[in-house]
Amino acid sequence: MAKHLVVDPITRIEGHLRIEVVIDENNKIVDAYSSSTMWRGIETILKGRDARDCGLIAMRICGVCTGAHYWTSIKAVEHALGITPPKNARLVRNLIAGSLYLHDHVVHFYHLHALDWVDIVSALKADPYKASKVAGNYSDNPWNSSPTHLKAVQERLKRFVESGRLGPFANAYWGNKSYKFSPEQNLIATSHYLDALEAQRWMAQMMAIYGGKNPHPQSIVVGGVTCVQDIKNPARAALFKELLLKSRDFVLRAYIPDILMAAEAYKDEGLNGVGAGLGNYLVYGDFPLDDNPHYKAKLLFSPGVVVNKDLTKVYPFDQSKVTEDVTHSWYRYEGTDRPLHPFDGQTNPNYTGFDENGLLKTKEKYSWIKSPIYDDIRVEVGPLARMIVGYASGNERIKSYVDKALKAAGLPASALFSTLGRTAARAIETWLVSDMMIEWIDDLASNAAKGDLSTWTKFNYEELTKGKELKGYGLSEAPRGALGHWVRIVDGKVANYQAVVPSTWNAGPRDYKGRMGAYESSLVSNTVVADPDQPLEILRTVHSFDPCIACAVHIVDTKGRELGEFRLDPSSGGMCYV
Amino acid sequence: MKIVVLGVGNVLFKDEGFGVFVVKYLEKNYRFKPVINLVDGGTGGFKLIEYFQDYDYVILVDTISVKDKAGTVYRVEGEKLAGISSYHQTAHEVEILQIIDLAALSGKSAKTIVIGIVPEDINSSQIGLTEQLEKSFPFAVNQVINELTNLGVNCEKINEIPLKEVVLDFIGSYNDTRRY
Repeated sequence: MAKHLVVDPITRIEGHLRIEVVIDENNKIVDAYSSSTMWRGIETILKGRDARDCGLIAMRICGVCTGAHYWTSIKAVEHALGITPPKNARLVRNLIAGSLYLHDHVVHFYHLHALDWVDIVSALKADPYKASKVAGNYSDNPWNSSPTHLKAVQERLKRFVESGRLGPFANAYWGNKSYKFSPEQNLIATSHYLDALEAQRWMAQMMAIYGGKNPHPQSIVVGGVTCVQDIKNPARAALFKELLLKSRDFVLRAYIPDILMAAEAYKDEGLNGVGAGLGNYLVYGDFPLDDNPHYKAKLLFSPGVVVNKDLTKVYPFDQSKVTEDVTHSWYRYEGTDRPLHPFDGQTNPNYTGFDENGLLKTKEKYSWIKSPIYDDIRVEVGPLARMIVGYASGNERIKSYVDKALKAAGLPASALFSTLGRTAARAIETWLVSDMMIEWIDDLASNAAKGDLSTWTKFNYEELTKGKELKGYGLSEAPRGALGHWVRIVDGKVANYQAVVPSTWNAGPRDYKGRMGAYESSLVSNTVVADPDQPLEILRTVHSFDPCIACAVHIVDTKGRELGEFRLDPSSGGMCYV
Repeated sequence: MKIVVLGVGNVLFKDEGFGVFVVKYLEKNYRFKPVINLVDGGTGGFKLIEYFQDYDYVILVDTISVKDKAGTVYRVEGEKLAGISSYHQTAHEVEILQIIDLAALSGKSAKTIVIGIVPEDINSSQIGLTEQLEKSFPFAVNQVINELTNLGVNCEKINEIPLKEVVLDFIGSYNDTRRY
């Protein structure tokens, strides 16, 4: 008898992701639907503005990829105007984006995803001496893994559990059969979870050195960057490098070893393709390695498309083949029912609600997310796509890092096509990016030392835009995946603006042909839910995409706690107040 | 003593921008001695944790989900909100309360005071507050000033730039008004 499971019912706060799955009598997932209540409408706010201001507003779309929206928007406007920023600006942008990768990926793995793999309560049963030895199986010099340290972590954890104030660990599915680590492995990972709270600070600080502030960096402008004083000052580069080396050390001695540990414990899931999904991967490409203009530079992440898990063939990426379909999304297209390219994109809300049982109307419209389609195929984007497309393209750097990781894990490349592979790919690229950043910071420092302090390409906005219609696109690889902004500028003002974000590609609902989106497809890939009351496997797979759906609002959600006594009385505050 | 006023929220969604607008308003209209840090935390998510790790006091200005009339202001100490966060069985990014709990877990955590306001509309895509929250805005600003004064900060009002002008300077539009 088929049974419906709903994960994450929509709360009063808009912007949550909701997953509905159908399981059969063996608890195997046989159908899945991904829905989000997010409704953005960024274009309504951007229309009519000076295009040079788009970046500052677009960055408010999201709190995690705030920087990624910022520079992708600026790239779109630069593309429309035909401006190429100078070398220093390219390096600074790579360094800021690289810092975002390090920060996002480390935080994602330890603080947003680890509890899908790690049973923290089980760590209480570990033998710290044994655990210290086990840590040596995955690294020659494991991070903070002495028996004394691990014992102290265990005691700290015990106090948390005994106090009943588990905070972020509360309500997890402790003891679920789908957790595969030994108590010792759980202790190692828990210890690194706490260490990562410290390590992530270094990465956030790096972002602010050339970004000016954190969050919401502000040093990138159309034409270049503004942080000329920071580029001139060798102490800033030295500080950046010091933080980078510390961060990289954490990646190499904690993050990568923990992934290898997961690859060992969850090996069968990798080999059986649990959570594999569509098998089609799209990469726009990013991190320019030279100064050729407008998507002609050589890129660290190769652009391209891999279809049907076939690593022998890569199709070139062409932005004109990106479209968005709204057959199953709460929008209405005027004048057509075909998928539209973002330049012609429309955002007319058409909310049709839920069925009488409070479930998604899966035959009709059921999500605020559109369904992006590339060249009439559904694709996955993100770290796994970048590693797969790079690997298949023969990108030497990517190939060597992926091969090193696979060799250390003792797994074939086919294991990448899984939830485990998706999570591992994120760690592999963090390693790669942290190595590349050393080259970039050295390059920036030596370029400045040679006297090249150029940070901005001069242009006359009025001359370039007056009486003209210009179109441009910004294509980036945000940490979560391919991110595109498309802008049409008429007489200097924004006439249309569309952003297709990574989570749109991955979380989108079915399309006009009834084909699944990436989350949906991954959930029906060989996944059995051990305990339907604890949908751990569903969360593990959805979290492996690093979903970024609910960035719209950031209210303090008090979850119904009684707070009446803290209400402030305006009459005693002496202010006029209704 | 390190003090930060951290205004959090998404300025693209009406009342969600409240916390950020308060910070921008303070920036334009007040002078503080000793100097304190005014931070536009925006949609910052996890990247805000450093403020809870590095500062002695965080005055967090944000919207708050309490069943009460829109515009009502609450003052809640961080400890009263501790333990609300949990393993996200949801699929979304961390909320501010999880950040407070995580900072505590890391062993470094600022004393936190939340000045929260009950929003009216956090769904419409527009920059600018609803009328109800505009009315409460001065009261909420005063609460932040009170907190700072209690911490021994001298708060001198140096300008009378209205909220609307502050937001126009900051991001170019406020409700139906555009700067250009």
